[in-house]
This record gives sequence, C-alpha cells and structure tokens, in this order.
Amino acid sequence: MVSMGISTVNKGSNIILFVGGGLFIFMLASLVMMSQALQNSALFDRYYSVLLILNAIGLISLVVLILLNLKRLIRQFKNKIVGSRMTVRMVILFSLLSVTPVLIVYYFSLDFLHRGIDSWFDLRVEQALDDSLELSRLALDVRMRELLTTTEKIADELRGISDAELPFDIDQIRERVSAYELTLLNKKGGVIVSSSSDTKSLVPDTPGETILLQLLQRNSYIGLDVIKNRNLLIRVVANLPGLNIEKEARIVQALYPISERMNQLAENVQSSFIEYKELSYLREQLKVSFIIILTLVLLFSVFSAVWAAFYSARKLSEPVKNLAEGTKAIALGDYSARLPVPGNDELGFLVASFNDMTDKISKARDTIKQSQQETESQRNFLETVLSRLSSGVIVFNIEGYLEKTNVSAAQILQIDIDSLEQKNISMLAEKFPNLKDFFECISSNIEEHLDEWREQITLPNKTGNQILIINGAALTGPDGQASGYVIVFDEITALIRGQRDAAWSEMARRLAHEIKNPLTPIQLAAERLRHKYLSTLDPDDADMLDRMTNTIIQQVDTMKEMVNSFSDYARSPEFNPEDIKVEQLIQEGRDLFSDMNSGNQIEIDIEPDLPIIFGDEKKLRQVFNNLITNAVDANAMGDNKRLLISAKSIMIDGEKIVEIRITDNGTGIDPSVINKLFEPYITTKQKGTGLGLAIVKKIIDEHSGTVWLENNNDQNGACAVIRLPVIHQSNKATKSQAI
Amino acid sequence: MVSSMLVLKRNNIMTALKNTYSQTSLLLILLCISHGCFASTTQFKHAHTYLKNNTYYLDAVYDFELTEEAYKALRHGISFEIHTHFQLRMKRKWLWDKLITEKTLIYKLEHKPLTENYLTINLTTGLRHSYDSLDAALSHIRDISNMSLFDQALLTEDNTYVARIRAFLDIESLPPPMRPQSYFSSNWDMSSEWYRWELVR
Repeated sequence: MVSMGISTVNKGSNIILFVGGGLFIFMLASLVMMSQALQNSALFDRYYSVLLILNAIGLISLVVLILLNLKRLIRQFKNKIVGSRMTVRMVILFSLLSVTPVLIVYYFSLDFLHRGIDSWFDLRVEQALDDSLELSRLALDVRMRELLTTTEKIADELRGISDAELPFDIDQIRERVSAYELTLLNKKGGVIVSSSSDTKSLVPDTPGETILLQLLQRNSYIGLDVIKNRNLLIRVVANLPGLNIEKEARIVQALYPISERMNQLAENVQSSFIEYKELSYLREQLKVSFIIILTLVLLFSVFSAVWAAFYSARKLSEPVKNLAEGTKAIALGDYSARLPVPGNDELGFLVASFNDMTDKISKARDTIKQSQQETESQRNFLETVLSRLSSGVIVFNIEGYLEKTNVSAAQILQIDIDSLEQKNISMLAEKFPNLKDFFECISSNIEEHLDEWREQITLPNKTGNQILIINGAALTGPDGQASGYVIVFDEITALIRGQRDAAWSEMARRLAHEIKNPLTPIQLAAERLRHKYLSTLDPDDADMLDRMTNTIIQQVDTMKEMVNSFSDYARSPEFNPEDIKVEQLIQEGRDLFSDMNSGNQIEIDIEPDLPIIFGDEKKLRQVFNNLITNAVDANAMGDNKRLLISAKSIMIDGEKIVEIRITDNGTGIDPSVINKLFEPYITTKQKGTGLGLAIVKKIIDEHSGTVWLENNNDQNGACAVIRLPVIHQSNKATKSQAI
Repeated sequence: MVSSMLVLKRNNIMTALKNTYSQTSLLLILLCISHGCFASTTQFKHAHTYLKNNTYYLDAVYDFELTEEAYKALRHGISFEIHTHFQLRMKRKWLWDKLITEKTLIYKLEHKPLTENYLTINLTTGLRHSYDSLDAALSHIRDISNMSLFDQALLTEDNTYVARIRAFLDIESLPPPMRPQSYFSSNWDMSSEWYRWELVR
C-alpha cells in the first residue's frame, strides 16, 4: 500500500515538474521576444502586446502554482504531517537564498537602466542634429534660389509662347533646365501642359492648395518634396507674369532633382534626426517598458525560484517523509512497506538500508512467530495433558517459586488454583497451614538437591486423613544445571481405604466362617450342660454351674453380635435409592430416642423447604441412628443432656448440598483420634465394636457425601457433620447406576 | 479646459511616479480610470455606396483629428497607421449578421522634418502624397472617394445587407514602448464608432 501511494505521488510530481518546466521555458522565451521587440526587432514587434499579456498570464499561473503549494504546505503543517516542518524550513531557506541576490540585481539594474537611458540624450547631440538638419536645408537653399531664378525665367519665356506651340517647346525648356517635370497650370491647379523625364508618369504632380493660395498672393513657392516614391525633389512654383489674372492667369511648376549624393546625405541627416527625436519622445515610455520587462524578469525569477524551492523541498523531504511513514508502519507491525530508493546518494543509501532492515525484521518476526506458534502448540499440548492428568503436578523454579500447576493439584489439595500463582514454597506453607507438611516435605527434598525422590505423607483433614504419595524430580536446563523441580502427587486415600476395607471384609468373612460356626455348638453345649447337671448337683455346685454356663452363653451371644456386626460391615447390601425428605428421617430419629427415655433433650433446627435428596432411606436411617446413638452416649456422663440436630442447604463450588449437624454437649473428642474414628475397630467407648462410625463413613461415601467429626468451638461437646449432594431429577439415573 | 487640466495632472503624475514597477502599475490603473473621461472626436459625417459597372464603390467623409499628444508624437518622428475598415454583413433573423466581405484602407502618416512636410502613404497601393500641412494630409486620408468595394454578384435580392465602416488609429503600429500605455489612454483613442447603412440589391 505504501509503495503504491508513493508511485502515485511520483507520477503526480513528474506531471507538476513537466508543467512547471514548460511554463518556465515558455516565459523565458516570451521575455526574450519582448526584449527583442523593444529593440525594434521586426519579427517580434507586432507581438509585443500579446507577449506582454502572455507573460502576465504566465506570472499569474506561477503565482497560482505557488499559492496551491503554499496552501498544501500550510494544511500539512497544521495537520502535523511528517516532513512538513522540514519542507517549510527548506522552502524559506531556498527562497531567501534565491530571492535575495535577484532583488539586489534588480535594484541596481533599475538604477543602471535610468542612468543608461538618460545617457543616450544630450542637449549637445540634439543641437548638433538640429544644426545638421538646418545645414542640409541651407546647402539646398543655394541651389533652390538658383532654381527659383531659372523657373521665373522659364515663366517669362512661357508667357511669350502660344498655346499651340507650348506642347513642343515645353519639352525643350524642361530638357534645357534639366528639370524632372515641368508643368503649366491654371490658377486653380488644372494642368494645361506638362513635360516629364519619366515616360511612365502619365499624370503630372500638381501643387497643393496652400501653394496655390501662396501664388495667388503673387509669391513664388520653393520647397523640397518627395513625389511618387522618388527621392527628394525641389519644387518651384511661379506665376507667369503680365497675364490677365482673372482670365488667363497661369502658373508654372518645375520639379528639379537633387544629386544622388546630396539626396543620400540629406536622407541620412533626416533619418538620424527622426530617430533621435523618436527616442527622446519615447524616453519615459522606454524606461517604463524596460522596467516592466525587468520587473517581469524579476517576478519570473522570484516566482520560479520560490516554486522551484517548493518543488525541491518537497523532493528532498519526500524520502524523509517516506522513511518516517515506513518507520511508523513498522511500529504498527506492518513490515511489508518497501520505500522507493530516491537515488545513489546518501539518502538513497539510507532508504536502501531501511528496506534491508525491514526485510530482515520481517524475516526475523516470521521466524519468531513460527517459534511462538510451536511453543504455544507445545504449551497447549502440555496444558491439555496436565489438565487431563488425575495426578497433581506442581512445577517450582530453581528459586522455589511456583511456576506451573494443574487442576488436579488444586483439587487434591482442595485449594483455589489461582492462589498458587507466583508464590514461594515457604509462603505457600504459611498460607495453607493444613498443607504445611506437604510443602515442607517438598522443600526439604528440594534443599537436598535430589534428582528424584518419592515420599508418602498423611495430611490431616476434616473428613479424615488424606494420604498423598509425592514424586519429585529436578528439571534440567540447557546448560545441564537444575532449572526447577516438578512435583507429581497422587491421593491414595481411597486406595488405602479400599485395601483396608477389603482386609476388614476378609477378616469379617473369616470371623463369620471360623468363629461364628463353633459358637453355636459352644452355646448349645453350655445349655445342655446346665440342663443335664443343674438338677443333679448340690446347691453350691449348681449355683456355680448356673453362673458359669450363663457367662458362657452370654459371652457367646456377645461374640455372635460382634461377628454379625463385622458381617454387616463386610457385606455390601443392595443399594436402593429414592427421593428422601431429610427432615422426615431426622424426625424419626428424634422420636426413636425420645421414646427410649435416655434423658436427652433433643432439639431440631431444620431449614424450611429443605431440598429432597436421592439416596437409600434405610442406610441413611442407620447413619442417623448411629450418630444420634454416639451423641447420646457422649452426653451420658454429663448433667445437661442436650442434643441439637440441624439441617440446611448450602452452596459449595456451585453445587447444592444438604448439611446435617448432630451436636452434643458431652466431653468432646480427643483431637489425636478425631480423624481416626471413622476407621474400623477404633472407638473411644468401653463397649462397642468400633464399627458404627466406619459403617457411617461407608454409607455416606456410597452417597457421594462427606462426614466428619469436630469439637464444638464455643462450648463442650462434639458435632458430627454430614454433607449430602442434592441430585437433580435428570441426573438420578446416572447417579443410581454409578452407586 | 477640464481635459487639459487632467492631461496636465496626468503628465505630472507620470513624471512623479516613475522608476518603479509599482509606480508603473499605479500609472496604468490611473490611465484606465481616466480613459473613460474622454470621448474620441473621430466620427463619420457621411458614407454611402453606389453601383457602377457591377461594382460597388464607396464615398465617405469622416472627422479625424490628432490629439495634442498624438501631434507631438508625430512631430517627434512617430509614424501612425490610420485604418478605415469596411464590412458588408448580411442580416439574419435568428443568428448574428453574416460577414460577406470586408476591406481595409490603411494610410501611414509621417512627418518629414527636412522638408517640414507630412507624408501619406497608402499601404495598399503604395502611393505617396506629400503635404505641407497636417490638415491637408489628414484631408487626404479622411475623404474617401471612388473606393472600389465588392462585386455586385455578392448581393442577392432576397436578403438585406448592412454596410458599416469605422476609422481608427492602429495602436499596434506605434512603437512597442508606447503600446501598453496607449491602450489605456484617451490621448490615443482616435477610433470612431461603426457607421451603418442598409444596402439592398
């Protein structure tokens, strides 16, 4: 685009140069012709006025050209177009440099012009010319007086000749006196008879009215005259004496030639005189004309110089302007601009270098762009892989700042992924106290500069202990040195639990098989012993047998219950999900324990319009019964036996959850075991199998919920918290299948 | 009287405002303004055509006097060309008149200081006449008789024709330095209006 614009500008510039050059040549030629016309040039004399008008038009054209240029420059200057300031400076500089000497020359030329023209004229020269003209007249005057006498004699002679003889005699007389023409006329100028040496001349020249009037006063006339394209002649007109004036008055006119030499000299004197007089008359007009031409030349030079200044400035600033526009284009990221090289000078070299630079930058940018695309592609690939990984991945740089992490890491650590950005490992440990062991484990391994390491840690959690297995490895940079560390970790809590559950299930199955089976024969045997020998023994022995067999039967029952509990835990009864109203389950639990007269005051705080959950009603009823039983047991030692069962809906990570809290005001739970109580066979009670909470945990897990125990902060006692997700109708089928 | 005063004033201005281009420009402007104050004395007294031997001839007389400035220039050796321009045009209803033929009679007028005569030269025929007075020379120019114009065949019976004639001093015949000023000066305006008369075959 830039190149095309520049090409158009160059074309326009060439047209302007062509027009300007044509105008310049035209005006120069016109001024030369005008100057020639003033110097009496026959060729240009007739065109002087036209040339003057053409010059004026040429000057007006130049002025228009300059004004157009000026207008454009002012507009560019106001709009702060690149290069306009430079053009203004150059135009002013060029104009001053060219106009100043021209003005000086003009001033002195005017002075010389006045002096020069004035010097042409001198009083002495004028006087000399007047005198020479007078001398010419005087030189002819002597001859003229002689010819007057001769003519008067001829008039006398003609008076005595009869009219019949006149045509013959007049020729002789003319030839005798060497006249060019001799004519006899009447007083009114009518020709009576004439004789001429010019045989081609048919009509004689007659004197004018003023001469005839002069003759009427009886005065002869003598004078110089030019007749019929000939040289000077002397005209002498005289009255014929003694004739009757009224009837026969006649006059004779004789035209005498002047010698060739005298004629030539007289003509030269007259020409010089006329020329000088003409010049003296035209003195002021000549000055004005020369001043006009000089002024036209001045204006032509000045305007041409100013226009040339505009043109040159524009031509010189054009490459700079192009460079500026090219630079701006590059700044805006357009590397396709190619500037026209103005020539082989330094500016041309600069523009060529600019084009080379643009080319190289363009190529470099393309390479970088390609590399960036490849890097971006690789990064996207890595991001995709990382985001799909179930393992948590965290990358620290060599200074211990977190550089990269994935979604799974945040999910496993149960923190917001954005909160990990650009944090130092020690800062993370401070920010997340529950993850302190995790970050300290990583930190200690990094500080040891181990290339690879693997550790398993257990993080305390509200819902139980979280077991993580952590793999660390040092990242090696291009120089072979460690540039960072990548930490990959997995949560194996579910795996461990699964293994434990499997172990407990196996143990329960074995207990049922190995222990439960012998218990019945033992119990039957004890009962038979008692039945057979109780009546046969003396009272003391009978009492002893009774107590011992009772103990055996009682303990066998206890062992049976224990084995049944293990069996229940190990079994996975069929899961029958349905819509459940939580408040109804809670009400049933409260009613059950109120009827048992445990002495507890059971309070219920249930949010109105609590969402319906989707689950197995029987199993959840068992959960509530187990937990309420535990709460009642916890309150057993206290005086104020209060139990609070609350339920409400909450939003966690955009998911609707029903939270149920069962709070007692007993002695609370030892914090060292609070996270282990959901594990099988762990209990704080004197009686019990230690499987109640394990079963609760198992059922809640089956419902995709969470359950944990926590001590009350502001009062005695502990609280069991259950969170169950509210599943929409559309997801029920899926959920059912998953369960 | 008024015109003399104006001429005098203008001469004074000319003397004062010389030497510079701007002054010359001002002078030209003043001359332009003053030009309208003067009316030319050149006008035709009468002119008519007559037919003789299938050719139309012209007889005409007009007033033509040199202004004081022109007389001064003549006496200083400047020669003049005095044109008498005749045109025959055919009248048309909707368009401008059509030019049928035209003829120009050009006299050159000179003053000869040696003989103190005024020389008239017919530039068409080359005939010269010398007069010892300016009035006699001008009379020769002003009185036109038996000037052959055009053949009768140029005229048709159905049309009406307008003959017109005017006389003027040709400024372009003056020396170049005088021309720019003369175009704007009443001193050199010696042209007549067109003198018209109808002509029917």
